[in-house]
Amino acid sequence: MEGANVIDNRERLPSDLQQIMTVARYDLLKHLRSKRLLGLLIIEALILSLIFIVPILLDQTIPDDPLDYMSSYISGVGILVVLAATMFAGDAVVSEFQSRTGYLLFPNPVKRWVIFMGKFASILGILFLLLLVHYGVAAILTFAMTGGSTINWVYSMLFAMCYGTAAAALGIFLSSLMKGSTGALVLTFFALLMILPMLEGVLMISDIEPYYVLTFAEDPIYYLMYDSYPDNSWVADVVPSLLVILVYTVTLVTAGIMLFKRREMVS
Amino acid sequence: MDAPIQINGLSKVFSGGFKAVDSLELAVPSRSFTGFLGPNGAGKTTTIKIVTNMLSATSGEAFINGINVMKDPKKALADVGAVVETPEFYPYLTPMETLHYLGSLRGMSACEITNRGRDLLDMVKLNEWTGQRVGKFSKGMKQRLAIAQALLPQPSVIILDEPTSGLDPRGMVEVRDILKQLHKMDVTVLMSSHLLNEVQEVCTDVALINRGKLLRSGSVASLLEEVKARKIDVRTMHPLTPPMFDRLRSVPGVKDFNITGDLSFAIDFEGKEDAQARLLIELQNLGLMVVSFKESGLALESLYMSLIMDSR
Repeated sequence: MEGANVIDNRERLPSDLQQIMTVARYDLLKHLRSKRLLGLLIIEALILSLIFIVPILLDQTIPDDPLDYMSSYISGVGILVVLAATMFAGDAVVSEFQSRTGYLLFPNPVKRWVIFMGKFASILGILFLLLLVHYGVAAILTFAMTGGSTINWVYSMLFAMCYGTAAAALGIFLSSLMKGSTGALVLTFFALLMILPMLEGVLMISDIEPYYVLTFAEDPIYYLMYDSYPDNSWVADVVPSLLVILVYTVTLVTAGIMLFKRREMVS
Repeated sequence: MDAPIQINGLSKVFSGGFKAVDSLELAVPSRSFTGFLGPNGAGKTTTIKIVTNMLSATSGEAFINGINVMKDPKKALADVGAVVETPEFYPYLTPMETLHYLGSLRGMSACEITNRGRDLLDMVKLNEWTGQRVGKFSKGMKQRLAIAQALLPQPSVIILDEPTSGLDPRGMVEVRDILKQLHKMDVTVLMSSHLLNEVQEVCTDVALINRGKLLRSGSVASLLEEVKARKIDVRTMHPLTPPMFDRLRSVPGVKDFNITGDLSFAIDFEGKEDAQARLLIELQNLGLMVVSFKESGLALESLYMSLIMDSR
C-alpha cells in the first residue's frame, strides 16, 4: 500500500470517449439487472401474446399477407417507446443527486458531459434491445403464421429507433431539469403520452399541421408498414420526421448537458 | 505553488445570500495529514465540494498539485481520492464491480483493479463481501468501501469529509484504524471533522475555520504548544484523599484538579513534557499507584473554542 505517487494517474487517464463507453457499460448493467427491464419485458410479452392469441380465440380470419399480419404487432411500438423512455431515461440524471450516488461518481476525473453521454448511450442500448426483441418476435410469429416475411418491418424498426432516441433525449433532459425522480418520471410519461399528443390535436383542430411536434414525427413507424406510403395531407413523411427527430435530439441533449453541468451537488 | 492543495481567496455564496465560504486561504502541506476543523456550518464541506468539483465557487481558485480544479477538473482530480459526505453506492454492483467501474474511469487495467481491489477490500475488512451487492450493506460498510475506492488509484492526495460521521462506535473505531494506516502511505490527506479527539489522534496538521474563514493553521504540536493549560486525566489504584490535596497542589504546574470518580481525577496543568513527567513521579510518590495518565483532547478543544469565540 506504500506505493503512492509511483503511478502517474494523470498520464493514464482514458479519453473522454473511452470514459463514455465505461459509463455506458455500467449503466447498461444497471438496466439489465433492474426490475424495470423485467417489468417492461413482461409488458412486451403480454402485448405480443394478446395480439397473437386474441384473433385465434375470436376465430377471426388471419391475413395471408405478412405485411398486413405484422402491422398489428407494430401498433404496440409507440407505447413501448414511451414506457422505455420513461423508465430508463426519466430519472437517469436526477437519481445521481437524489440517491446521493453523485457523491461517489462526481469526485472522479470525469467530465459531467461524459457522464451524461454515457448514460444516454446506455438508455439507447436498452431501448434498441427492447425494440429488437419486439420486432424480432413479431417477425418470427409472422413467418410462423403466414409463411412469409417483409422488409418493411426493418425500416419501421430503424425509424422506431430514431424516434426512441428523441423520446429518450426528452426523458434525460427532463431528468436534468427536475429536482426529484418521481416528478421527472411522471412528466416524461405524460409528455410523451398526453401533453405532446394533445398539443398535436389542438394544432390539427386549429388547422395547423403539427409537423414540429415530436409525437407527430412518430407516425412513420406505422406508415412504413403500409403497402404504399400514404400521401394524404398531414401525413408525417419520413425525411421531415427524421429532421424533426434530429432537431429534438440535438436540442434536448445539449440543453440537458448544460443543465447537468450547472447543477450543484448540495444535500 | 508547492502545496498539493492550495486554496486562494475562495468564496461561495448560495442563492439566498448565505456566504458559506468567505475568501478562504489554505495551503495543505505535502505529505501531511491535515485536519480541517470547524463547527457545523463553518464551510468545511462546501470547501471540499468545491475542491472536488461538486460545487462551483463564486470567486477564488482551488489547485490540486498545481492544476486549477475549476479550469481543468479532469486533470486536477486524476490524482485525488475522495470521500465526500456519506456517498451512496450503486446497489446493483458488488464492491469489486464498484471498484472496477471507478478504476476503469481512471484508466486502470482490469488486472490491476482486481489485485489492488482485493488488497483494499481486505484492508477495510470487506473481503468476505466482495460478491454481495452493495445495496444490502450497512452505513459503516459503505463508508469503508468509500475509503477503499478513494485509495484505489494510489492517489497522492486524499480528501475525506467527516469520514466517521453517522457511524456507530464500532464503525468509528474501524474507520479510524483505517485512517491511521494512511500515515504509512506517501500521501497528503485533508480530512474535515468536528471531532477534536479524532483530529488530535490521527492528524499531523490542522486548519481551523469558522464562518468560511481560516482562523489558524499549522502542525498539531505547534498549535498545542500555544495552549498553556492542559488537562490530564489520571486513573489510579488508590483514591486521592483530602490529606494529599495540598501536596498535589504544590507540584509545579498544577493549577487545579477535579475528582471525576472514586479512582480518577483530572488535573489542570501548565507545563511541557518534562514537567508532566515530574508530575507523574509525584503522583506515584503519593502512593496512588497510577494506572493511566493521559492528556485529554481538551487542549486542542480549548484552543478551538477560544478561536471560535474570538471569531464571533
